[in-house]
Amino acid sequence: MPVNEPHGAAQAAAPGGATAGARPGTAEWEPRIIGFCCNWCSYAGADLAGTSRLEYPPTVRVIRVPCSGRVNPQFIVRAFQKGADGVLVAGCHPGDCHYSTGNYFTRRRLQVARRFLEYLGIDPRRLRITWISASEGQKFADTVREMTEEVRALGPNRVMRDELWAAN
Amino acid sequence: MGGELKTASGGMTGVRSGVGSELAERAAGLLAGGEVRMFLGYGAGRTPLRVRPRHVLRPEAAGGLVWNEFCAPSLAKYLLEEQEEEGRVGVLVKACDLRAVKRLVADRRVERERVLLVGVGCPGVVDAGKVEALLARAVPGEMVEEAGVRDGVLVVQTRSGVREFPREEYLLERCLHCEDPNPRDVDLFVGPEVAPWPARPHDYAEVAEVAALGAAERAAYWDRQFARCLRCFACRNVCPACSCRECCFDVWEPMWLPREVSVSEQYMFHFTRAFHVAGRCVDCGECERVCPVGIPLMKLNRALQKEIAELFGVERPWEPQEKEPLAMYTPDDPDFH
Amino acid sequence: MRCLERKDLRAFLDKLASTASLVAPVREDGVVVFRPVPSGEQVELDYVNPVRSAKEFFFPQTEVMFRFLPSPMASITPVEPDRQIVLFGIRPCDLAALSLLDEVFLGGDYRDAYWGRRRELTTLVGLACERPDESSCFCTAFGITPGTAEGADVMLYPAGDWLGVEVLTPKGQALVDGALPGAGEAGEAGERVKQEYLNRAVPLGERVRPGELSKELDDRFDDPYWEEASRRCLGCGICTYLCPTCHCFLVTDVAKRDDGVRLRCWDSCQFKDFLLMAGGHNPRPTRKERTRQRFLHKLNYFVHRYGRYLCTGCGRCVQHCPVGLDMATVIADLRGVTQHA
Repeated sequence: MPVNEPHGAAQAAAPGGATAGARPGTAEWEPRIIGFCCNWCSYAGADLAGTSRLEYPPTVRVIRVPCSGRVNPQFIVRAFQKGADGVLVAGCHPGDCHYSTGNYFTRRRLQVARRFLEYLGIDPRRLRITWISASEGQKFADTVREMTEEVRALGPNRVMRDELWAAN
Repeated sequence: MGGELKTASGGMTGVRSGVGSELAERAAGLLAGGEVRMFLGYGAGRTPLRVRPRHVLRPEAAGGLVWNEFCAPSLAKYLLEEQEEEGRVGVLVKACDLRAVKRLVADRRVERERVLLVGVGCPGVVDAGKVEALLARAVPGEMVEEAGVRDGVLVVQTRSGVREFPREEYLLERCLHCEDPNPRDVDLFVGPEVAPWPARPHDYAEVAEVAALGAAERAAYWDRQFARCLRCFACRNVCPACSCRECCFDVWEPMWLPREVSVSEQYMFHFTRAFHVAGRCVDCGECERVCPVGIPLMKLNRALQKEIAELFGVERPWEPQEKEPLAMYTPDDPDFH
Repeated sequence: MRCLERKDLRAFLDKLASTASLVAPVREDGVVVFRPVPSGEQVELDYVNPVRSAKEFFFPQTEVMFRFLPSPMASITPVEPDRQIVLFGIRPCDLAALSLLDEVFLGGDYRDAYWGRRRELTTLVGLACERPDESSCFCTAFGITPGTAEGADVMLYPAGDWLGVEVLTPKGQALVDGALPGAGEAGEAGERVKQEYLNRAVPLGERVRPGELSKELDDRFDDPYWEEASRRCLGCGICTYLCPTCHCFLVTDVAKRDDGVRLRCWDSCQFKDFLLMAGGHNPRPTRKERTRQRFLHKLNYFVHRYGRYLCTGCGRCVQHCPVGLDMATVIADLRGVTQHA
């Protein structure tokens, strides 16, 4: 974990299988995707996918935020640090933001963040930003399905991963 | 390799411009007249290649102020600290330093009325670190006895003789891009205007270099750069765009930046530091100049400048804007689906 | 003293790398740093001092002290370093710094097991300074010379196409027996070379000898110099983190649900929140207090406590402080006439 450990100690501190889930690189590995969904549109859309009994892979861990504009790019970095293989940010369609303008800022900010993360070595397919309205349950399910397959093909993410604390 | 040995021995006359004494007089006058309570300028540093920031409070001490091609550091950030006390502060600014002051004013961290800007035309400054590294290879360990720029050539004398460095070897990188070496919109101007030189356009070649690597190599490149990072925060502290009253890196709850120094957390630090100045960086390059372990910070800042320029049609992202690019939006911004 | 031909140096380093982890100076992106190396190939010998000091191999910037787990029974598992390393190319100033830090970590009532263990696991191969930097090195101000071998297990003295190899400890003997089995004796030539290093001039060191400064500083807590000097300080941690003798740290726990680790991390007295206390009080609220603290600690408090200055004149602060608020400058200022702006 620390940057320089020639005396070899930190590795001994790494938790050894205390948490559930298959280790990256094993046949049982499943992508872990963190999904930031805005309360008013995309979270409701995700809910609709559920009540409509639409099937989609259980890879997304949803975090509800009031608005996609709440998503600080540092959250995205933290997700990758802690073991996410992909991050999804879903908000209202531009023009339909519950707070009027939140997602306009999201759009600018995350365009830049996504390119910057690519520059640092994170494949841009690992960060998906999309607009899902409250009635688009199908879009939510499709998005998760597509993203899961894309990230599965890319494999586990190693960049920025905190080896001591990332989920196994 | 630079530093071609010119003469085996003998001295050289130091090159000092008359602007230095004019500046000292002006500063003394401003202090004596009570127009400013402090004057920020440069004084002689530990070697002839280096200067040191000087906070002059009394007219008698203004005589120690210098102006020469070694005055590379920016003094703008000190204005932030000095806002705490009443009164007006005078500061010597080059054109690049003026951008830094404008950044602080645009961010409403420094009041323009409480600053007295003394502009000076700058012929381009010496990258002391670069020259010292060249000298360390050519004449390891030898102290610089005298140094000056004469007719566009840096002349350096050490024990074993005199060495010359042509402009393209000694010039600080940001000076290559300088469009107008004379700061405009200042309160006073000392010395003559300096003739501009052809400015190298911002082509982001250094960014393209890294971007051209494959993703895995890119990550390996940054792993290696960040592994040297000391987490000293010199880059953040010297940056005119970094002026938050409470920096997220100093906060314990929430712990934005865990104290452990690991490859992973170094990414968090560098990603955040660069991103927080995205669209606001004035391209002064002070961050990279002060970094003790040679992390190419401008490769991060310019990558963001480039993205913002391309995505939002901001032609000159390093100029303080009316509205910062990430603090605004248009309905037709590039979209996701 | 033994003799090692320069042409055999590479083989020596390769041997060291194969028998233990070898950590040596390498040039990385134009900067010289200590790195673990798999062989002697990348080892750099043309340097004054690696920019990051050797202290981080005994006092890492982030150190895992122990793990804690709640189940099956609440347990604390200390994390112990266990790999032998050879640290090659350490200069007399950094060696002296290690012995100063031994006073802190091993002397006194409490022995720091982490520092101690790493010291035990490390064999130090020192390298005398062929060319001290005239504008930044000042080891002689503190009684150290370019050839001072105290603290090393083995000391190397470069002499053109050969190097003198001096064994100082049993650990050093074991290293030399293993890596230089057939080395010849250096004889008188070796002794002469060593003397030359011990007498090598370090001009800045002569100019900034502290002399009686420590005692004088007992009465200079309120000197206006601190206010004036601190004005240019940026408040970064370059000086403290590059310094081979600075050793302040914070201890923090990082937990995920219930399992976690306790970490010891470097901290800098130059940071604004270094002494920030619960409740909001900060006894060193401005740069004046913090700048004063740095220099009084090194030049006065440490002398009171341990009888030695907490500086070995390595010159890193001189080279890297962006505003010239370094130890050599401050000692000169304090001993000479102080200029008030």
